[in-house]
Amino acid sequence: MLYFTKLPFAWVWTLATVLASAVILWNTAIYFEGGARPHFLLEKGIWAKQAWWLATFYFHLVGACLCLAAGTPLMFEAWTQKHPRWHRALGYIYINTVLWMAAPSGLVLAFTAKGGGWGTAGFALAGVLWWQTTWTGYQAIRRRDLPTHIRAMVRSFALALSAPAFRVIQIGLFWLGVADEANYILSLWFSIVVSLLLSESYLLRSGRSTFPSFTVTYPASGANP
Amino acid sequence: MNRLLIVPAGCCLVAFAALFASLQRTRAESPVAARSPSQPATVSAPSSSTASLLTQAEAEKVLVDLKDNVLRSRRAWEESPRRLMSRARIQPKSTEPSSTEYTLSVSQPGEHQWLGTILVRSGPQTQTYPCVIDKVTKKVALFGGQWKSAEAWLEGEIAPIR
Repeated sequence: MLYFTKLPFAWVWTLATVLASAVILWNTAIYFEGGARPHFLLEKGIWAKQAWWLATFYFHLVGACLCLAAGTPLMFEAWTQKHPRWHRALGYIYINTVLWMAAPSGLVLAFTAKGGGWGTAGFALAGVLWWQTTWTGYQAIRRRDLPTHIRAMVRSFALALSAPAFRVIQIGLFWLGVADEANYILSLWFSIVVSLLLSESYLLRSGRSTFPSFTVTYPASGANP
Repeated sequence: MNRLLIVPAGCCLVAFAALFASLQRTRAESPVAARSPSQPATVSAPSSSTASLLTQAEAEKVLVDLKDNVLRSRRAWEESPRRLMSRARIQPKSTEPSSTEYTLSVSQPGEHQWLGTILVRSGPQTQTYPCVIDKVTKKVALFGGQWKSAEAWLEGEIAPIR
């Protein structure tokens, strides 16, 4: 995965990221199985009984799953260079699911998030950044501005990965004995920071950063990540 | 914005509207869910006309229903599926078997109310909630720091998850 390029144990990090994303996809099955109400919906109490909230939640769930599944292969540079058609098809799915499903619904759900104001602010920030970076990436590829497209999509998918990061951090903080409410807020904000660090550190290492001291040194044509 | 984005955006909008309509219909068909939580709870006693006052037996039936609802809420939590990497709480609150009891005061403070208590046991913890049942309207109010309707109380006070 390109985020871990030039890092020690890159394949281990890649495997962990792909596995964590896969677990999230598998976890969402409980919301479609019927039967007893899942914990998360019980926790939401009154909101989970409102049709608009449930519709937004399921929309977010499906959108987020689709974009995680479609976006993961796109972060393997060699694969996308070898399969430009797949890149375009999966990229199309990714962009549309983020722009019209996962990000807007996430933004709405932010206002009913756990963790009070900090929870709402964190999810809203993540939603706005996610939408904005994806939109920037789409506009850039429409005008064939490859450097901007790559930068924006690397940032966008890093924000998508904040979902698995959130869960991993939450489990870690739980093991450290952090109380539930504080754990939730810390996990949320740490996962956003981790996502930003992941994308920016890769862009710096690969010379694709927007920082002026780094020169863009990749081919201007052909397939891209 | 070109057609490449407008078409999927439109499809998403239609899909959301369809999902919302379907959930709204399901909700409307379910009498329990259809009742707004902000509405005061009215517990209908069996075979009582609205003109007559609630008898002691009917008031007891109201309290029995209420304590059963408490257990149902606890049981829903105990039986609900959860997986480790979900946004739900990692460590669920106590899921020890719960039990409930009720008492109904025979002596009444006035003509229009029944007084009672609901006692909720969860593991070693026991909590008692005073309650008032209006004999005319059959509305139940419970005290857990502040007076609440039975539904609001079940939703907020008694749910073991918040």
